[in-house]
Amino acid sequence: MSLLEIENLSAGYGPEVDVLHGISLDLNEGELLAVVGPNGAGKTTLLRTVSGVLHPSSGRITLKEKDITNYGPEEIIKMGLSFVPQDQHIFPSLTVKENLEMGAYTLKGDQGERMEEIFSIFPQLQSRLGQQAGSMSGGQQQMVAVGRGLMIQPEILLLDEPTAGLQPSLVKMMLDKVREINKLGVSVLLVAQTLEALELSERAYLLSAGEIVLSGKTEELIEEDKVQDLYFGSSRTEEGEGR
Amino acid sequence: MADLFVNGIILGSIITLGAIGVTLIADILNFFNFAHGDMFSFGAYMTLFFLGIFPNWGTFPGLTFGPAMIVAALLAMGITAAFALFFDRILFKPLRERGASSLFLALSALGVAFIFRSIIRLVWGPQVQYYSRALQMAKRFPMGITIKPDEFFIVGAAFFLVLVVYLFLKRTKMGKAMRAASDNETLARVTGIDTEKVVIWTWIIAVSLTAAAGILYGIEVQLRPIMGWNILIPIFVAVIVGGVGNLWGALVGGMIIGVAQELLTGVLQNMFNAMNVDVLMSAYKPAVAFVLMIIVLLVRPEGIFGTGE
Repeated sequence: MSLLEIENLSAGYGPEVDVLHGISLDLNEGELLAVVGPNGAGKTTLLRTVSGVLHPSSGRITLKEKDITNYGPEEIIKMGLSFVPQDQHIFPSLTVKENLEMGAYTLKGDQGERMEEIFSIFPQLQSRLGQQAGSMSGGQQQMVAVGRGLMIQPEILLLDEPTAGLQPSLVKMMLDKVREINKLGVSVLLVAQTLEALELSERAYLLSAGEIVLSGKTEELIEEDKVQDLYFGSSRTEEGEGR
Repeated sequence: MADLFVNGIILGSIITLGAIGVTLIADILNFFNFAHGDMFSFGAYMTLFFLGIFPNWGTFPGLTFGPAMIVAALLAMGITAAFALFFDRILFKPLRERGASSLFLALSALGVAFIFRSIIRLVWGPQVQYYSRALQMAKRFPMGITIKPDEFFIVGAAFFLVLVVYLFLKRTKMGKAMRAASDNETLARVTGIDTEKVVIWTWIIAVSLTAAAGILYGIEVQLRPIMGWNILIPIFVAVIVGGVGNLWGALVGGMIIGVAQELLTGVLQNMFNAMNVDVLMSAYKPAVAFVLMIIVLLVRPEGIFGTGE
């Protein structure tokens, strides 16, 4: 039984402007699953819908065998699903410590111990607890964002392009962290922007124009022309769909 | 000059209390609360009501009021906040859920302002009222500064309340959640913050502060149904000068407006008096606020502490 199951999901930003058209996808326990696709394919919309920020126009989302299709984000996070958006993913005027505290908003009591666990993943945050998150570099902000997402000890972590805008050395570090988090037992749904990110995953879905066009084991998927196109341009296909 | 400056600080501390509420509501609920001034008046009048039904508990040494004022003020702050929450439920919440624009919300708040003012006129009448008619001897200080004991209380109470709000926003879980929601509402919801609860707390804090400001103004000056409407402009200007959404901006903006209004009109009054020109400059205090607002909007539209977001 999968942990998260999405059936025939359509969603968008207003009546009759669906971005997603009947998507079905499932995430198994402990898995690192990637969703790839060109800009505008609906990857972010998918994560926003699963996390409850957007309500689907049709379809069904099941989390731990419970129908959460029309749940709000406040309820979904309490069920152990945490979402780290791609941008606007921190509270800029709050300190690092306060950002992490807000991550644990739904939990009662002192979260000092949990914070220590976050520092073991992102040691750089420990010395910057009092710093305003908005004044940090892009990479550090990303650590704050992911750290915030981990505060509730989620079973599922939705990560939207966690390496977007990072310099190459940080991209590798962040991907290592994603692997580390997954190894700790967190199931990860990763929107992968780069080939390295895709290679982290065991399975992947290729999303295009709001529909799933390919899915399967990552090692097999990588060989597909459509996936090659996405990362290397249209050189390998004759029609050349382009990016 | 120095005395005018001190008067400005007193007025400024009252404006600050109003401005903190306006800035919180503007930041979290995304509209300028045009009812803020009339909630200011309502708080002052509710205090008058409670003072009328309380027995005489005496006065604090040197002040024109006693413990009854403190109890009445706290009750009035609570009731004014309760009224605001009532209007949020029946008016602002439904509008929010329909995704109403800031303009719609502000115009609805204007309607709420008229409701508060009509209640005041209906219940207490249009005439001027006082908490106390006792005369107070001002203490004299160097440089021609005169301060009444009540005025020490006003500034002290205002700063105490600012400190309480600061500590609430900085130290408590709800305070941090309010700041988080003002930073990024969607992320706040994703994080599990109950944004409706944040809205309720915003109203409670903002409105009880403006009610407190109205009460302090009533102690310093007098009670008139239009008092809050008249001070709304300086309050808005203080928010804009300080930068919308910034607590320290509200404090500094409030002080700047208070001092500028008193100093400029006072200095000009002395000048016109010397020239034998018959003009009452105190009527031009709102003009000072407007001029300041225009200057800030031209030079630094995000305000002194604004981030320009």
